[in-house]
Amino acid sequence: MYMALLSIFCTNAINILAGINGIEVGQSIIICGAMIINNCVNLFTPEHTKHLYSLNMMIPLLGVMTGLFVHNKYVGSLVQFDDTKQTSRYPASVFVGDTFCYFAGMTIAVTGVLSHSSKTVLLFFIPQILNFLYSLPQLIGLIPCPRHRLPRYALVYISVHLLTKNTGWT
Amino acid sequence: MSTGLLQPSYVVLDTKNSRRWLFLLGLLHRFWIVDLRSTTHNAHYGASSPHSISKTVLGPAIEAEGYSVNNLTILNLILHIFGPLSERQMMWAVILLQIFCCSAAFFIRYQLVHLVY
Repeated sequence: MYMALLSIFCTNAINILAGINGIEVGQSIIICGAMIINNCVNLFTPEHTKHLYSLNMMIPLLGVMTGLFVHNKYVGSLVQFDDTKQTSRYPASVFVGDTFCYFAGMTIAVTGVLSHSSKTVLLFFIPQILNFLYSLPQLIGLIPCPRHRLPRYALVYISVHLLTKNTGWT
Repeated sequence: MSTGLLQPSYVVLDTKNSRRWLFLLGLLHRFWIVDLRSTTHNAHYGASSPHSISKTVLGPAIEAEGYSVNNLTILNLILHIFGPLSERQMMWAVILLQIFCCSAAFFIRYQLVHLVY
């Protein structure tokens, strides 16, 4: 029962903390790296077999995700925005959707369960747990929940602000 | 025309059920945990602000006394606390948060282990 809940949580936790280029892969890389460090620290203790197993799963995953991260951050053509002179490479050449989030989350969860370190793995998911707790009012319906909750681009920030300020139009 | 900056998105509190929590949200707003806005607030954020959403989609009756709150994700919370960020800054903010929390996890795992396990 606990194992089922853990694997469901890990997959969906990565999935709901997503939507901006690079963050799904970035956070998975950090979690994965933390697990590798944790395994390396414990490699020469009596229970080294399970950590060796975990390393076997995590090092290939880290390699795969590093490759994806390079293409997922911002690799498209360089765009300069009019107002702020911010530059951004948009769009990314690879978009990750549910497929990557479920793949990474499930791999991490299964590795945690099979190497008997699920509590340690859960500790690495603190930002996702915070995000889940913070979202809870919307998820259980106390507050209306739209389909997409991503941050938005600030459109014509300055001009509309000046317009409302000058004309008193609210 | 776009500034290339990200800002929080908002949801209009239009149901009776959500109005019941307005007091609590106001309290959390004081501690910068949520961003509660009156939709009669001056429309700083342009054409798709909660102000104009409520006016066009929900009708003027709601707009008169409407409140809206940021969508409750930590992405929106980061943007609320640090102001509008570009997508690149946003990505590094989330990754730094993850690194910080993983370091905290190591501390819990190896220093406070007798309290947790």
